[in-house]
Amino acid sequence: MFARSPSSSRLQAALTLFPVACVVLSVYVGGVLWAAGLSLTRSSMLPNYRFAGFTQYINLFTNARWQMSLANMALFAVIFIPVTLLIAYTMAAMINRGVRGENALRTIYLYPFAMSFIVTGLVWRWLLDPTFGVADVARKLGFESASFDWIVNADMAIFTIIIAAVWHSAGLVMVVLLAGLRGVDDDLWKAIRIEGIPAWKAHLFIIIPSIGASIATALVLMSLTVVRLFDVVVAMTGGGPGIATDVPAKFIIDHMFERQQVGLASAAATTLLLLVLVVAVPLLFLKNRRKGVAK
Amino acid sequence: MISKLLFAATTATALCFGASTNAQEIKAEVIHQWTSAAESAGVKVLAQKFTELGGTWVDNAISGGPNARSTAVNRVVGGNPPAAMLFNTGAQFRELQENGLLRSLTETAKAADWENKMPAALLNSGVVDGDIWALPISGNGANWFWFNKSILDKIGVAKPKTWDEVFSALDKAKAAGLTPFSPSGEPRWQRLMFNAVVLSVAGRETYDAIIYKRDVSAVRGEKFKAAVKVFEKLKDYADAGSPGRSWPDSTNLVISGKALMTQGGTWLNGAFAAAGKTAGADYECAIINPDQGMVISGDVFLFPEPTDDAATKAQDLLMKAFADVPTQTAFAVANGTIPILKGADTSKLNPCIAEASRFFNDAKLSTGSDQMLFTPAIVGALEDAITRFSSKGGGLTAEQFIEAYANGLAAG
Repeated sequence: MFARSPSSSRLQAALTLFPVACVVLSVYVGGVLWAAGLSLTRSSMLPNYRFAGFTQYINLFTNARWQMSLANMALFAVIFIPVTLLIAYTMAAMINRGVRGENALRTIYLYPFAMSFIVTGLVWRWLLDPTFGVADVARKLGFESASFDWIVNADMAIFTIIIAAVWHSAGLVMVVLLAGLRGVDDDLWKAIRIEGIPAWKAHLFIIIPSIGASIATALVLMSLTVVRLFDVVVAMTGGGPGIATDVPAKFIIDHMFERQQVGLASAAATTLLLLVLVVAVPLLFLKNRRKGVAK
Repeated sequence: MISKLLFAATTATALCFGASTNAQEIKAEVIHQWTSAAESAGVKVLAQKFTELGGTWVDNAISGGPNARSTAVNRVVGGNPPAAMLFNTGAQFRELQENGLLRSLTETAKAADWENKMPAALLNSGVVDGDIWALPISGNGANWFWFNKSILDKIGVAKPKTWDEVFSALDKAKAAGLTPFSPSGEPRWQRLMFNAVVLSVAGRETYDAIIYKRDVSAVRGEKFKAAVKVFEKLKDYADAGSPGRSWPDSTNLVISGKALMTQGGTWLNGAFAAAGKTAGADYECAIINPDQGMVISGDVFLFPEPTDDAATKAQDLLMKAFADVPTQTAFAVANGTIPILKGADTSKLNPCIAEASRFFNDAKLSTGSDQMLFTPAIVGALEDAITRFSSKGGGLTAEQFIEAYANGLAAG
């Protein structure tokens, strides 16, 4: 494929990647290791190296806010990912049938993603505000008993975050899936039509398995949203009411800076990283094994 | 490649430092979080005085106290400290001092006679190991309640002074179809309000035992429980939009006549004033059970250990400007806070601030705030407990809350 000898191009590639590798190793990996080290110390406002064993981890896991953060992240992942996928796939499948004004629709669906999570959060915060929001509009339209107070109700507030996040991400996931659908061979559709397979069956058993790569991409994008969930929470609820919508990233930032508990925050960050690895590593193995089988 | 880069970086740094020492002007960068209209006006007064004294003020305003403080701390730890940085009065600076990152102000304080110029409680909160480390710049009273005067008139109630009067006024406002109470729902203001209720209901003795001695038995006592009950009852009068709402938005509901009452420190006075309202005619301010006293909070300037002579000179000049009585008073008037220096001209103060100033200067009528005496870790733990208790559906009963509060107080 390459005109030049493989060894020279490999050298060139290595040289090109060298600065990046340096940055990654020193800043990212170094930073991660430092944080992991700090999580075993008594560091409060400034990093120090007074060894504390696993005290910070014990404090962390007995902390009601951290427990709530983890539970919220799990709940968010379990609802956000399937719901977004379902809505996005439905939109993609409908657009793929060649509706009129496809470009316009695609743009509209993708628009939310062009907004930052902070703006998304503020918009939804005002929409869902029990005094001024859509509830008020409904009251003014004559539905006098209309009330929607999920955002100020500790038991329901996390669902308002999920609604905002789904709204924000569905468009992007739709575009990714649509790209996959466009890659499905026309002959396959023809065969489905000739066989007279019902649409839902065709999608579930034939089309979806054949766009696995697009779905995998969408899943990775959504998982990232789950782990780094922060700004939409800050803008919408500030982690409240109470601690009801706290998430790990917010817990870490609050304790790292405002509360001067660097050790505790590092323990939380390290735990979060380990959780991500626990999910990501088996997936990587699975992917690599599949590749091996395909060869 | 890397060595070349390093070389370039060191040369650049050297050039920068060279440039700053060669310059004749006395430059001082000040990191602070005073960004609202009234606060900016206050900063301008300080900057003007500094300029008059021959300095060049480099303003670094960062919105949000925690943001400004973490930026300042990072700069200090990174070896590029600002000349001065704004912190809240109290324990926040301890670790910087322990690590030798702050300049001791004892000598300057002696020369400029701070001891006789400033209230002892405020100055003492900046003393560690017999040395002064912080220069108080502003003072606030935290446990004030604010009322819309026209609503008070409408429901036929005088300015409340006791809890019975407060609750009867709230009931009447509710019956008149108005929002009785619009508190801010951000956790730190919920904490502020809880402290106000504890001082007012449980009394000075219990409050001081908690704040000054971290006395857990006081938390488990009957008086504290009574305060928790009042706080819980207040929560029922709060409007549905309260959770997460900022203090300016909450105050605005009282200013615009939609709600009767809100809670907050003397800084709320600035919001009323900015809306063109007059104390006594359009709004009222009150401490409930005022004989228990006022919770003092405030801001201090910290001066990082200077890196060279020019920085020392700049800091000396800054302190001269900040401790100047007319400047400090003009700053307080613009900022809407309490003038902290003795001999300040209080004739220009509005009635609410003048009243707060009276509490402020009377040791029997003023006590410290939690932030003055607790580490941020403890403040945070208490705040988590209070905000969980404050929220609808938070799942904490009064008993569970008292336990959570006691545990937070004992930790750290």
